[in-house]
Amino acid sequence: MRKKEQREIRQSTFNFLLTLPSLIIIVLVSVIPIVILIVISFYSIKPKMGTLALQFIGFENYKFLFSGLDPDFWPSMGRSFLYMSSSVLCSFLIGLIVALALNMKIRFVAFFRAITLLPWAMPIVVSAFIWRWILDSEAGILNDFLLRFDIIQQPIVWLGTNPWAMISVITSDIWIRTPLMIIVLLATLQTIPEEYMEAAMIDGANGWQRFWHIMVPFMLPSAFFLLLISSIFAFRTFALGFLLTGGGPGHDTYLLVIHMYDTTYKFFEIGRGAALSISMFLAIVFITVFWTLIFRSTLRER
Amino acid sequence: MQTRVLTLTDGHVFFARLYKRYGILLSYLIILLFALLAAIPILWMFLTSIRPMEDIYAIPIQYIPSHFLGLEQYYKVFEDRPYFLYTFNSLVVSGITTLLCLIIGTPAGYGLARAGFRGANYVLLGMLSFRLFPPIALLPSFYLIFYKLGILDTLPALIIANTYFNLPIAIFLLRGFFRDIPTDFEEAARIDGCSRFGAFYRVILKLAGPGIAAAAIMVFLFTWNEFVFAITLAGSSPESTVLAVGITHFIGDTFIAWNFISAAGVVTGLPALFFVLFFQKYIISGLIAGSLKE
Repeated sequence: MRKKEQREIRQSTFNFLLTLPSLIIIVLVSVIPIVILIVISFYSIKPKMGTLALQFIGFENYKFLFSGLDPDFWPSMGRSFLYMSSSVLCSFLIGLIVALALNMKIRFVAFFRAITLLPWAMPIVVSAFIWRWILDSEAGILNDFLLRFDIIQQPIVWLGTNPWAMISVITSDIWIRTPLMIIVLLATLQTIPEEYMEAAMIDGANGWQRFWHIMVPFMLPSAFFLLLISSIFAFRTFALGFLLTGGGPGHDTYLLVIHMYDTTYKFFEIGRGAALSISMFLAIVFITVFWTLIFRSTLRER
Repeated sequence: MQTRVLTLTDGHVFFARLYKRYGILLSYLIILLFALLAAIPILWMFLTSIRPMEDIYAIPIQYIPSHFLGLEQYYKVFEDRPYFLYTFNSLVVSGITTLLCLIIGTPAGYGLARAGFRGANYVLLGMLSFRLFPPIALLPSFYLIFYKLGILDTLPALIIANTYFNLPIAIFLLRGFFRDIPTDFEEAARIDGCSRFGAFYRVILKLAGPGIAAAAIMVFLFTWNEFVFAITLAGSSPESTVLAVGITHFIGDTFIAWNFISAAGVVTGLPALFFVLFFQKYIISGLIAGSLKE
């Protein structure tokens, strides 16, 4: 008895020691940038004659943002939420449909899975340029296709007109985001034991009932994970919007991330940029709480 | 009584068969449609990169190439800019980041998987929550830190930044894979006389090979594709420019050199294509491990 306990304690210690160096590195390294970020958000930092001029201003940065003195803060926050919700919901629905389709024993599943995975795997820079090229108002194939088939008479400036700019950016995001949904949902569907479905069919359940009462409960945990993670990623995605439209035309696609980028790198208000980052983090916490609440019944079961 | 039950079942079987036949057809259609939507943009970029310049800018679009250019755009791209250097830089940053994540992450993942100590799950959650911070949000911090360290605009800066963001994922994935390996293997090895480290080394590393491969591929791919840090923390000089940044060099003030960008895009996207086509299994297992194993 004692020997087993001793061995267990030694095993735990071994694990702890094994993990310890990595944990120390990770914790130290991870926390420091965040702490720095919080600290500098209470300062006004501006480059002045070669160095950085620091000045402690307390909550001034936050007051500036939240009170509406910053004309871009709330609108860009709203746009980010719109961007996130549209992209996540659409990609989830499309992903669900495609996953259901792939789940029906068809041939060449691996081949199709590979192709559907591509948009997610490509570097965002490249994908951004691909779409910018396709959406080009003069030489892009989208306009060419629409014009040839007489769907439109004049070429549409996709990335330069309201509301097409936002729609184009969101659509590109959906293109990139759907593969992940498909892969995870498909994997989840494939874990559903055949017997459940067969039993349901024998009992006379139709397709819709089978879907709702068997598949959905199985998918809820994965759906939670997917929706949560995708929402967070969609909210903070930067490269796509930046490279496609840069926030334009005007401020039509000016997202919160882009506002943060501009504040820090164009206007060199580094302290305020940090405050914006913290605000973005708060929004992400809000999103996390949102999804956790919606799925609390699922989480409770675990 | 029996006849009634039979008729009911008959009707459902009939509909089930009908649904099955048309269901599969519909499924094929949906899949084909999505596959086309997914593949055409990428194919188009590839086609653009090998077409002659007149065709690219012709309006309306000339789908049939006037003459086959082949790889001339690629030659120009590699001539015009130090693209071999950029490729090398990408390899260095992605490779070293992957190595670091594996070296630090494997013991950490193993320790967390076999955790006897309490709070292991909290540690994991805490680590993952760091990932919640948008990379772009931590830019000012990294900028300041690297500025003070004097390594701003160098490859090591990128390596550090990428390791920072990919380590939690690597640990999470590796822990998931390690958890799947029953402890019996280690115990058997221990009985056969291996030391604790020996057991770890021989049994676990071999069995978790696919898991480690999956984690490695994910980290490599994420780092290779990474753009935000690459362009802000580095990229002012060719020595610190990575492929993801190099492609943006072809944007002029009024004019975008689509012929070059498409060629550069293909080069930058090659690892993605390569890993997806040949190592799809690992990527998918990596993605699934992240989600199904809560």
